[in-house]
Amino acid sequence: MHSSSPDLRSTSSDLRSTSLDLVADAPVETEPQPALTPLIMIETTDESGVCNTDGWCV
Amino acid sequence: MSASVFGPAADPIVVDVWSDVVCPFCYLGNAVFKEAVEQFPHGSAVQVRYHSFQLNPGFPAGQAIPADEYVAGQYNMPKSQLEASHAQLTTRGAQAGLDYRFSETLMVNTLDAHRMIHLAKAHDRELSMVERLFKAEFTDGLNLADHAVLADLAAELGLDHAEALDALKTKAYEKDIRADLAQARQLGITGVPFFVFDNKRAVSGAQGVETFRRALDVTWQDRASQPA
Repeated sequence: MHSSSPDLRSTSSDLRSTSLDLVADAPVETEPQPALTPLIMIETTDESGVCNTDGWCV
Repeated sequence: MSASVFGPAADPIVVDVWSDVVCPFCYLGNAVFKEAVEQFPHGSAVQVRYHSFQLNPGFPAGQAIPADEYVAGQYNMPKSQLEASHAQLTTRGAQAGLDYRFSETLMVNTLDAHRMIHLAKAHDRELSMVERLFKAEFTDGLNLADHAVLADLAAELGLDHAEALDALKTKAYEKDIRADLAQARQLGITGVPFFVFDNKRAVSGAQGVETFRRALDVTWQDRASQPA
């Protein structure tokens, strides 16, 4: 669920292709969203503390 | 934190948060962010809106397996590495007042849990539900794929048990969840927790209190610099 080892991330790429979830993969039928301006990221010294869409946490 | 901090204000700083209930860093990030809001002199003017995100949307609905077993299998991770990783997060969690019990944590498809968050939002109990689900996942070892468990949690927060069961049975709030996921894609969010301040600035990850404070401070300064 979480690890500081980046070398194992490459083994998780198959997770995306196995996505069977209807909500995540179904065509999006939502109200039109207003155009978004690019977000300004707050600078950080630590890029860990995130769980990514492949299920991997670093 | 007082309820007013996350409640409505006349012209609040709006913080949109994308997270998933099986994301350990989301639990930590939520706690640390709350601490930052408490320290922020204008904390009463901060309004938080939670948005659905799914880390493992392909996980079979209705099933639950020990999270350790899932992670070890998916990533071929040695047990020692997993335990070291757990220990690190457990320590950080304890500093934030959280009690991680990874040996009891279950991996599930979180879609139904997100339905409960949207149900709670409709009853102005969004924050309570998000926090209760995190605790249920990471401390209590509850199965968040079990409709009875989810309905019980809803009832625990004062929501109607039958209404919660009905929402789960009828797959309610599908449109709201899709909207959250679509907005995340539109913003380019690939990991959680992810915090957006006044639709302008963002923080990725369970950062420290000082980072969230800086985000709040600069967002407040943005407002001060805007023409009246």
